This record gives sequence, structure tokens and C-alpha cells, in this order.
Amino acid sequence: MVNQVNVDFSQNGKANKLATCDTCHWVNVYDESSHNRCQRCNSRLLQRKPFAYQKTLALTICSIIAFFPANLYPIMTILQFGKGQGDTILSGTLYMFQNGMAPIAAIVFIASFVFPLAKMIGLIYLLYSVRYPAKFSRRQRTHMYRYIEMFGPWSMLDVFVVALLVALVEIGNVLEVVAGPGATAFGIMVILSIFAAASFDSKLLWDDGSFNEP
Amino acid sequence: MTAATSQTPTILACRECDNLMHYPDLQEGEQARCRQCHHILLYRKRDPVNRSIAVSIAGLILSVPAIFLPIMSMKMLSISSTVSLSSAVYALWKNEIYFVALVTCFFCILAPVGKLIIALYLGIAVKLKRVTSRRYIPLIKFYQRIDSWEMLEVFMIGILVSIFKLRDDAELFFDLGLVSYILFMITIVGLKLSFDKELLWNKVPVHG
Ligand SMILES: [Zn+2]
Repeated sequence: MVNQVNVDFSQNGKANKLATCDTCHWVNVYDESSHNRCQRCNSRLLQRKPFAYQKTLALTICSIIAFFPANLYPIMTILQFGKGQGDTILSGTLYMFQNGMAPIAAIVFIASFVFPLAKMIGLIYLLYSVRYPAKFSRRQRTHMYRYIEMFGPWSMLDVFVVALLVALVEIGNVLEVVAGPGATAFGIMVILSIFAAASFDSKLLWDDGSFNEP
Repeated sequence: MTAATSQTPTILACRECDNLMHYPDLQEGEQARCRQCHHILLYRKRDPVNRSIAVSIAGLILSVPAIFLPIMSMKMLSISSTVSLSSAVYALWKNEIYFVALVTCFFCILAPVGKLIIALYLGIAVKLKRVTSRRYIPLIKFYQRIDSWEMLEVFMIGILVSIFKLRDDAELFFDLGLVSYILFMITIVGLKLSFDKELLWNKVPVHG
């Protein structure tokens, strides 16, 4: 049990030899020489996510790689009388934009192109800012990280659209929707980027330099 | 060390920046922010136990029509077809797009239904004052693990987008399933607003 009297509240948890459980948020005494487990929920206890920097970097690079097939391969093909051209995410969005569906096109474009791209750039920037001086304050960067995590799932939007259309449009030989390899690549890209964001540790942003900066 | 069982923590550390604070004594409906990074650390929900039981019963009942009833239907040249959440997953699987089928099934069916079942079980356990057992810990852990993978709202917008995509090619109709899907989604949002994990964790006895 943590004795409150011995805690220096002007220092962070790590400096006080404490560790917060990632699962149940109980504050534990941390002993560096042994394997620590949370007193309350028995989860493995760590002061910082291990290899957070390396894992986030690796997963972000993987999702950047998956971003290319996800956008270059067609995610679905609408076949009319057996004929039709595959639509990538961008060409599908462009088609909707030209056909007077600008608001919906904008939603799709933001969710499936702007968000993943912003997420990858954001994560790379956060990683950069851990090692090198950054323009934004720590608080702004922590907020940035929170938004990156929050908007992650929205990139699945187009994958769900494909799922719905493939099931709905199977009308004999007249009209059919076939899912393309882009849909799988896109799903993989989104999941990789969610894992990349989850493996980052925002405490890294606060660790070095002066504490209690405004 | 004694086998003390202090259940309310005395100290609180920010999950985002590791700043240390005294554990605040909050009333229902109040929230506490980290002084350093402004992250919302604690949020005492109003009447969490009763509300999450009510919401999860409603959600579990609604999940059946929401998953199996057709969400929308399409008519073209006197042939019509319908789609439901479950038929979408099935069609993807049949078309050998296994990954997308699994992902959709997990994000839109298994994760939300799993959350509702766990919330109901834990809510009743708290009501019956039987939450002290170590058995409940894996359930809360599992809830937290699937929490960020539930994507009903995204699927909802997906329904809207697919309606617009096909607007020119075919006649589209909404079905009863859409109403139950929307209500199902609302119960999941309601669960987010009423299920209090911190409260459940604070009921777990600590030995040390
Ligand atoms: Zn714990």
C-alpha cells in the first residue's frame, strides 16, 4: 500500500518509485529489481509501456506501407450487366463529388483519407517530439495524442460501406457489387494504425526536462 | 504488511502524464481533471448501477432485431434484395473476403453485445453486493479490452453513405431493422455514459 506521507506531489509517479496500473489505475509501489504485479487486479505492472517508442514507430511504418495498397487497389467494383470498373477510395469519392453528393463525399474523404494520413503524420511527429525539441507544448501534444486515438475507428467507414453493398447488391446478372483487395488492405491499415496509437505512451512526452511546465 | 482492505484509493496518478494527486472525493455527476495535462481522470456517473442495468437489458433485447432484421432493401427491375448486419457478414464470408467479414462481425456484433452482457452481469453483481469475488476482475478487464473496438456509430454512417452511393442505380427503402439498429446504437452510447468502471474497480478489495 502506498503511504501518502512519503509521496512528493511535485514529482511524477516514476520519480516517486510508483507505478500506475494500466488496467485498473491503482497506484502501486514499484520495485525496479523484480517483476511487479498490481495489488488490486494482479495485472503486470509497468511504469512506462515497454519499448513504446520502437513499437509505435514500427507499427506506424507498417500502416504507412499498408496505406498504399489500400488506396491504390479498388475497394469495390459495381458490375452492371457483368461490366464495370473498380473504384478506389479516392475515385469513388471523386465520383460522388461530381454527382452532387458533396457532403457525403466530404465525410468519406475525411474519414478514410484525411484521418489515416493525419494519424500517421501525427504519430511520427509525436515520436519525433519525444527525442527532439518540438514547437507544440506538452499539453497540446497530449491533446493531439488523445484525438489521434479518438478518431481511429472512423477510418473503418468505407470498409463497412463495402460490407453493406456486397450483401445488398446481388441482383441476378443485372447489378452486382464485388469487394476488391483494397478493402482488406484498408482494414489492415486501420487496425495497424489503431495498434500503433495504442502502443504509444503519452507519459514519454512529459518525462524529460522540467516538470510542471505551464 | 497487514491484510488491510482499503478500497478507495488515497492517491491518483494521471494516466496521460503521470502527475500525482490526492484522490478527490467526487459526488455523482462530477469530474476531475489532471492539473498538468487537463485529461479527465475521473468521472462519477449519475446512478451508474441502476442505469447500466436498465440500458444493458434494453440493448440486449434490441440487439436481436438490430442484427438480424433487414436494415434496408433495394428494388430494381422487380427484383428486390435486403441487407442486415448478419447477412452483410455472411455475404462477405461467402465472397471469400474473410478478413473484412471477421472485422465487421467483431466490431459491430460481438464487441457491442459482449459489452452489454458484461455490463449487465457486473451491474447485477454490484446490486447483489457480490462484487468482492476475484471472478469479476477478468470480466472488467475483458470489457476494457473490447471497449475501443466497438464501432456501431461508424457503421451507422456507413449505412448513410451506402444509401447515397446507390441512390441513382436503384430504389432504396428503409426497413424496420434500421429503427432497431439506431435504438441499439443509442443504448451503447447510453452504456458509455452510465457504466462506471472506476466504481467497479474501487469495490475490489486490495491486499497488501
Ligand atoms: Zn491494476
